Amino acid sequence: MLTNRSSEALAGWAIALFSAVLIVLLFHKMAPQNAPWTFAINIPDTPVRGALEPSGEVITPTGDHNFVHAASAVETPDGVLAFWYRALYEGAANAEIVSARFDGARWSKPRVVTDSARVSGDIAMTIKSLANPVPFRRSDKEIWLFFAASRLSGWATCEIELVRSLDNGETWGPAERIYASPFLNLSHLTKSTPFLFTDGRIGLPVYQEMNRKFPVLLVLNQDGKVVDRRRIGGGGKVGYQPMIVPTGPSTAIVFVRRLRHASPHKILMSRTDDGGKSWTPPAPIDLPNPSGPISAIRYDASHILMAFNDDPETERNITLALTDLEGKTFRRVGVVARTDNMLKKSNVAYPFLISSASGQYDVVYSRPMGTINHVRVSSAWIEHGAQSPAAQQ
Amino acid sequence: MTASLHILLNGASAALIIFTASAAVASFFTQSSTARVIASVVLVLATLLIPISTRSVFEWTVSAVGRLSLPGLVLLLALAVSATTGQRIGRSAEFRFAALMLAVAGLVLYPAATGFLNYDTYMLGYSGYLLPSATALMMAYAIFRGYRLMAVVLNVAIAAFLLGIGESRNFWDYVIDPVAWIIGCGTWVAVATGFLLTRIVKPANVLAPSQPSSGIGETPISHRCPPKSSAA
Repeated sequence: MLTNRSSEALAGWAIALFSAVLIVLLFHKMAPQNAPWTFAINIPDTPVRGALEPSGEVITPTGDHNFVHAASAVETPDGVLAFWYRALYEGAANAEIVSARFDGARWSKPRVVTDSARVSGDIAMTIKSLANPVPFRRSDKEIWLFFAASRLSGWATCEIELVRSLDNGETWGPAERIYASPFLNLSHLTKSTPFLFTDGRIGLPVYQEMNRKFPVLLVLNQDGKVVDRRRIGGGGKVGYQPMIVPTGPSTAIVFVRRLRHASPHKILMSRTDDGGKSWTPPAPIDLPNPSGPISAIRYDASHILMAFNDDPETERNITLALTDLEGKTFRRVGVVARTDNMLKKSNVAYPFLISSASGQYDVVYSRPMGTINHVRVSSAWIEHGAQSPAAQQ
Repeated sequence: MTASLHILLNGASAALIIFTASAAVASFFTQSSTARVIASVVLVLATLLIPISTRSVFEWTVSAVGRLSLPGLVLLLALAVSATTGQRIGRSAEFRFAALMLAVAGLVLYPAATGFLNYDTYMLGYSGYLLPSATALMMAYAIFRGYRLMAVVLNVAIAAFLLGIGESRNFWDYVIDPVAWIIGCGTWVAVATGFLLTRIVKPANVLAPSQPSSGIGETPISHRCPPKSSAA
């Protein structure tokens, strides 16, 4: 029979042995992965075709007096699926993420993807507001939609959520939390398009909002769990809403929105040459920025197409421009949306650019903040504009 | 099932925080453990009913705190027991060591991870040997000193991380959270304050009166020559 002392010693040894085994497993699990990070590059085929004039519509129905903002879009087999958020006012409780379909001729009525109450139920935590939906095509039928959810009040208390659709956006599953920050998972927001790595992982550009503002690349595994993150530049008050465009297997550039009170009033840019593991500090480039987000996609083998507010002070227009893969030279293509001088607060904000078909490009944006709008342009219009000296002025 | 588990886990952290704070406040008014427990439970229930804006105080707490790490929950539980029973938990060397480790870990993690420094220490929780090495050292010391509760809690946290049970895939989130960090820092501020009071302030005040004196200008009693022993 064991005495008290010997059973104490036995328990001690058992804990020590169990601890040793777990520590060895911990070292094994956390062994550094030395494999290089490589981007999945999809160079689009860009034949010069299509109309020489842009076409556009207002997506939101007339008579909808909600605050609507932060539109985004993804291509579908039968057209375009756009998303945005709506609420009584910016940051109001009971917000909704909504979607609408474009079949090439007209937009469908908006449908609710999810709302504050449903997200609160899904994650067992009361959510105040929702914002910045960003779609990602996971497969032919599967779409993931990331968005920011404010837990308390204000965007600094946001965390990122993910909902999935297995039927191209007809129905949506429950919200899942994206765990991105050690500080109670607070203060990370989405805005820009995710992208793929060659090993199937997903790069999700996000930004920290609370106190310090800096861009971050989250790396998600195929289940949608964050398995790594890299800061784009250092900490501190840098910039936000990064838009990453892979330009080669291990190279990418990122456009960063400047802070409202920062100078100069120009777009910031950062680069990586190791697949996103490290980034140069964001530095201003020769394009103005009124502190608005930038959207960009790969255009062809040697160019990036970007949509941005071409003004240092206000969001008075949305301009498309072509840049080389280094982000060193820029050629303006044309203006796709302008302020209505007859109306107050008619700025054109938050452009989101996609290629919905070969040689066909769609921009969705908001007018503060009563309508969500859509413009479609063709590669023919882009090539024509790039050759036109008027577009450069 | 999963939703119920989420509600339970999120609610447990908030309930424990409110309970502990309530018990600490109640300890100023009553010595009775039963009274403190009753007052704390009543306050937890009250937070479910008291609304601020569109939700209850309890819901605000859940939204603010989320889900704590296991070490954070155990530390909070220890504080809750201390606050209700009146036991001075700061006298436990194991508690002080655990609090010190959390205070130091939080100091390494939070200022850097939230952007006050250029290096992001949160990355260390995804891969690399630095955090496992620090954990192994801490575990070895805990086992060596016989801090079994701490060793068991660390083991459960490591096992949860290895099995991917939590929402995060970052090891930091299994061993620390901001509430645990605040408790760790608070504990060591209290320990340091107590040390200063007992070792520096108190002796200076106490020296003179502790010498029994027979009157002004007279030799203190303790300095008088002892009577000669008859045996010497």
